[in-house]
Amino acid sequence: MTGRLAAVFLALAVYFVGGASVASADGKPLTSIPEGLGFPVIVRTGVNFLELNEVNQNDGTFTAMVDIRLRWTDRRLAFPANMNAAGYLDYAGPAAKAKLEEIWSPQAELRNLVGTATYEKLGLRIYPSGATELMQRTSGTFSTGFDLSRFPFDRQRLRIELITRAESDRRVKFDFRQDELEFSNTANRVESDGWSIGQLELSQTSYPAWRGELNTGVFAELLVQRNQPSLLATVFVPLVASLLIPLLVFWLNRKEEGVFMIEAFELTNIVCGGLFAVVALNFTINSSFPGLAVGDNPVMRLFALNYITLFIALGASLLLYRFNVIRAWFGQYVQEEFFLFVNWGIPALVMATAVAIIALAAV
Amino acid sequence: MTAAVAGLTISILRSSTEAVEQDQYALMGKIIEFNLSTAEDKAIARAEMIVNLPRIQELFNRGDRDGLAAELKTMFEIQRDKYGVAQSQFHLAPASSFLRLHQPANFGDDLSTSRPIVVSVNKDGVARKGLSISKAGPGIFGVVPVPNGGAAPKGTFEFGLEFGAVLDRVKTAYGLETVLFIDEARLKLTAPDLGGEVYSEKNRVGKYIKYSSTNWELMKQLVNDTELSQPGFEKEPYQRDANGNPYGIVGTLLRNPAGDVLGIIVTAKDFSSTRDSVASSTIYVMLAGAFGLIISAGIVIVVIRGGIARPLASLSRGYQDLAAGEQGDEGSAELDKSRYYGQLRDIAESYHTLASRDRAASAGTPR
Repeated sequence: MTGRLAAVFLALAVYFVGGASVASADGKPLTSIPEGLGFPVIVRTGVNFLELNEVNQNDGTFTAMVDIRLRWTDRRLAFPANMNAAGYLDYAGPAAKAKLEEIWSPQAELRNLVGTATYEKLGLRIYPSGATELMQRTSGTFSTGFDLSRFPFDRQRLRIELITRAESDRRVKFDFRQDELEFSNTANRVESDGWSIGQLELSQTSYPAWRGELNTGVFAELLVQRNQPSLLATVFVPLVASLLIPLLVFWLNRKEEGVFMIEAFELTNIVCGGLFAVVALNFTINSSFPGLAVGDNPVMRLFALNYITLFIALGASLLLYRFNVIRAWFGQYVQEEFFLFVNWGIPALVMATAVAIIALAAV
Repeated sequence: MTAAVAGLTISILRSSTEAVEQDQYALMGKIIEFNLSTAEDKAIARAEMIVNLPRIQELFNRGDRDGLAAELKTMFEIQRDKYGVAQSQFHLAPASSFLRLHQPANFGDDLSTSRPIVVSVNKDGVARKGLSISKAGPGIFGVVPVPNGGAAPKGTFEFGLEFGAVLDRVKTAYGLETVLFIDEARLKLTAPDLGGEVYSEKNRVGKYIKYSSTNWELMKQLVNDTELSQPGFEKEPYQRDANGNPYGIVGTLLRNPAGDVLGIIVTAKDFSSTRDSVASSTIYVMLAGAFGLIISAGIVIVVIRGGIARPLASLSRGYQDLAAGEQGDEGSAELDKSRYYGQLRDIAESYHTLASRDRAASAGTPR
């Protein structure tokens, strides 16, 4: 009997609140922006990553399931606390969607969602004070920028961009507090192969709207650290090894009585072979990591160093060995000492540069 | 020399960065102090506005608690919901609670030991502002006497702003992460009813309670009870890594108008940009140093040894042989002029001329 009464009471409460959704006391429809607390309407925004399925730096995307929590207060939705045993009105799925048609909501959208969501679920709670909480679970692919300037020691920010275009930021403002940060982080149990998962950071942002106004937004960025030691073997070892090829031009030659014993064309062949090797390696890496082909990163710097070293080796083959330019200009003694110097000096300079390139990325 | 210059450059870079970071620490502290001071001004300005309303003076001086509560209910709700005003209270001299707008049913208690600022304002009738812990928790207060038509004021009125709202604004404006620690003993003494939400083990850091934070997940990696309990913690900023980033951390002591320490605000700023800049500059300087060293060595070897020392040594040997009459028929092969350049080549040519003359002279002399 008590249960039946409670059910009837709850139904009446829902009807009361639902009936009130047509228009508020001031005659404005409940779908209009709430003005009770003034502008801007603060929407506390939290984003929680539930799953991180794939990080694709080549496409600049990641696939994830996220929970978005939006909280705002609309006093027009307030109802007596004793009207509901649960302490709030709860709507889920289609009921939440239907309720959202009747009341104002910030109409947040995932700006960087690629295509459509593969899964979506809504939940809405309205508390006696008019505090409203909208939960949205979304699975999908999101576009995000990848900064590869420190590849493969890089850290990335997998970003969810949440914005509203319905109102300017003078009227609606997305914001967050410690509570939202905790929501965004404490339930974080995400794992992903090849990436170490860090904290989720929230930050406010804005986007240009009409007439010089701005739309409010929030970035939710999951910090991930690349954890792929195999890349050192597959990318950096070949790149450093290929640096040794042009250095053979210096190391393989020898001189007797001031005369170079290895023909210049043989050494030039080494340079040509090295050039093909570097071009092939460049092609392979660019195919595997297209994102590395553009911009400044350690891999591109090492390729540049490879090409410069090949150019130096080619110059040495032609000018030093073939045309004996140093000897012709400065005599045999200078050439002999120059040859001795480049045998260790050029490799030392090249290797110091390579180490510096890698160190700059790693620090 | 090159290595010394590189070392000196790195040393200068590091000391410059440390100087910049010291300035940053000072700035972080000033930002907190300025914002707290601004919040105090806001609190006292609001209080002044309220107590100068004739209707409020009339109700208070008449002792009409219910009338005041009804008159100010909406005002307080708007201040609380929109502007981070957590507390608002009327007091009767010397220091007892008359009406708490945030807890209307809770009044009549003595504040003389817990709220020295209220005692002071009631004593001398001079408005004051400052940090304090009230029954509802810590806040930033402005306390003013309620005018009494020329007679001695019967009491005072105050507004108390939340620390959290101030720290949130600091984060939004300056990107600084903060955490507010309140001395647990003091907090319990004045506000024992805050409950388990505040007095919980997860909020306890040494003798302090973490009362509010803009990002506790981060801040708890940057400060711990050992550091907080160090004497002079607020005078010694430090640097620590969290989430792979270096942070500069500085503490700001919170004192009430009587000078007692209520707690501390710890502020953190991401120092990645300066640290990355130093690290990359150090690597570039070291690389430049290596280049300088190797190229200097190359110049010494090629120019000094190849261009001067070895040619002079061979010329010297040749001339010594010539002087001793020991040169071969064609002159010393070692003194082939193709081995030299510039004036040394001329000297080598002179050697061959002298050697030819010597050979000719030797050929005309009977043995």
